[in-house]
Amino acid sequence: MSETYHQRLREKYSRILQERLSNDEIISQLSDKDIELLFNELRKWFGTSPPETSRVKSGLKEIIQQKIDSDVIELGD
Amino acid sequence: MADNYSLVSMKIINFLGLEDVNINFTNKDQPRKIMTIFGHQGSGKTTILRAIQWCAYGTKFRDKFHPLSRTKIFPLSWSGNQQGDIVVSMRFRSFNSIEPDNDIQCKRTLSINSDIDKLEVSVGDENFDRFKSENYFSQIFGKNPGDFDAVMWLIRQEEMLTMSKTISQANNSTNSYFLNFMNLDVSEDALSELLNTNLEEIDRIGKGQGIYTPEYLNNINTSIKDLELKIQDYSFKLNVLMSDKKNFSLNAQEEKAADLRESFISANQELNSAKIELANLKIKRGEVPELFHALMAAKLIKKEIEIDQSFDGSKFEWGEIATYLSKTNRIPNQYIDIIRSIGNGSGYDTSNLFNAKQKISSWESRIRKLKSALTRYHKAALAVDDFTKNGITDEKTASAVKKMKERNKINEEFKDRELEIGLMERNLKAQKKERAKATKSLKAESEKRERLDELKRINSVIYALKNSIALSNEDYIKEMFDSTIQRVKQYWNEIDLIGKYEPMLEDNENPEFVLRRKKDGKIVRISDGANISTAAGGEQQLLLVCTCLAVSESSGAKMPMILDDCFTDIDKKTREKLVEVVAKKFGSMILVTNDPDKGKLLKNSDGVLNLQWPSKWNQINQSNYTEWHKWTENVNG
Repeated sequence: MSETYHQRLREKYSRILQERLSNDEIISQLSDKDIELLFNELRKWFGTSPPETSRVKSGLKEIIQQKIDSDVIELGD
Repeated sequence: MADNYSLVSMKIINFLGLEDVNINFTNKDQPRKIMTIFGHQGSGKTTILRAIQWCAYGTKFRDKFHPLSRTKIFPLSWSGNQQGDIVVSMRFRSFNSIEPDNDIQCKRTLSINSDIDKLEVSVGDENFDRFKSENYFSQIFGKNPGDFDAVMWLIRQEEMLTMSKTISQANNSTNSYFLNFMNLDVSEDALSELLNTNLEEIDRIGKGQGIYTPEYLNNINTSIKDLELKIQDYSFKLNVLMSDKKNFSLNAQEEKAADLRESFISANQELNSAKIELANLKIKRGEVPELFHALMAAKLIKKEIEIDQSFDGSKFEWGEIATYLSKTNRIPNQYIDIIRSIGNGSGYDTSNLFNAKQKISSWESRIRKLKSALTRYHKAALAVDDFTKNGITDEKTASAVKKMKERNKINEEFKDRELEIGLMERNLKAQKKERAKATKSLKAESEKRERLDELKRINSVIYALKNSIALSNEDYIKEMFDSTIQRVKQYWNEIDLIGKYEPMLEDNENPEFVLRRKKDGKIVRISDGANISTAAGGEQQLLLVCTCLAVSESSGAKMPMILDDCFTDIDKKTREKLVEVVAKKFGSMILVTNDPDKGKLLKNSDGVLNLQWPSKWNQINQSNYTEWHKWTENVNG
């Protein structure tokens, strides 16, 4: 397998995920910048040496709780 | 982490026939990317592969018959009882690196008294704990296959059918190896942990609802306002009373007069009563003669002098007595005359005297009463006189008492008001405290609600991320499944030189590849490997190899591709093409064979590891190691 093959796998999954995120009813309420933040944080770990869950969790937590503006999300009844 | 690795070295201790060996896979200190391991039956080729597998995935403790179960990896000399530690270490280097500084070193140990393997991974100077080691390792070797699953980077004849059947599972989103490489577990676990933490907090906040409502707070505010107004009103009235108090205050004299009013009235009443009594007992003028006679009679009786009916005046010198009595100035003249007349010899009529005897006791009683009344009168008169001398009059005392009553009334009212104001102020203080409590509680409730909403929003985002990942997984699996099917066909088209058959996927409940004969469309299924002996046997084996290559490729495994004598029935030219395509596509490959012809297939190879194990040897150790293996340019037949 050439080195670029794995990169192609990552790109394929990234493309699919990006589309799903944009089409999601909740995620699409966020700003484009926030969606990109979330997407980039997730794709950081695609096909890489898996870090400890705590490290991924703290990265995601920082993005979700502090960086994105979730006030725009409409809560259902 | 890199995407492709080469094996640099191995150290094997007490693994099957290898007692203590170090195998160096480098050529002039650089890892070999494409190489052959050659040796006759029993030379240790499979042992090396098993050692690599065992180091990658560990002991299969649950399946006693699995080649990697505990006792199956013991050296024969142990006779089924572990007599020492079993250790396999490997060192890998990424394609991009030429220096050993970032080599990955991994070491698996099964100690004699331990129930589990121990895996240690380090990269350069960094050592990983067990959990991180296993995760890191899984990125190189892929997830640990189940007991009946094949290994993605090792194509072995007896396992090709198993491996090719993973196609049927590939489209299953819960059991698809396509996702192994993507390493989404960690992100999904992290999101789940975040979600659970938030749900716990939501649950915590939800408990202990506050008891205060905005309506309650409004009511308290109204009550406080009313109370404050009332206090204000009462305070104003109190000030008025204070002013009245000053107006109705008594000076010392007035105080005294008021205090003495009762005594004054009592004294006057006593005087009047005494007067009346005196008046009743007073001796009237007409009663004097009777009194006189009674007194005389009493005196005479006391002196034991008989009172005769009539009276002979000769016995006494009444003239002298009269003169004497006249000198005393105590007896009225009329009586002096009476006494003198007795001396004149006319005698005295003693009938009055005699009659008066009957009235002595009543006159005595009356006189005693009169004396008492007189005393009483004098006493009362003195008291009244005393009041008068001190300026205590009826008017003054009455006025003082009236003023005092008024003052007392004002004082009472003042006290009552003060008390009421005190109560209201205490009530006001309590209500203000309650209001502060309610305000604080409502604020906390409001903050709680805000936090709850915030958590719910965050959780919405997390659920959406998880859902997006799940849907992406399905999409990715579908795409990868489709592309894997295409890759099988591509590999076939590239390697097959005969062109008689074409691969086709039978898309049923368990999809599998079959061969379709081009000329008549006849379908040939891949039979059990043991029975591949038909005319299409070589094509079937080639199809299996192509399927395995496509499956391995799409799993994203980073290990060098190992082909372990997996194309015994394929013709020579096709074999050559196969090896050429695999070496080119995978970049790093190990061909394992006991066939010299096959051993020569790899062109542009980085060398051949020749293994030569005579049957007389029980095991390989330091003493026979160098004899056992050597690197050559070509296979030694």
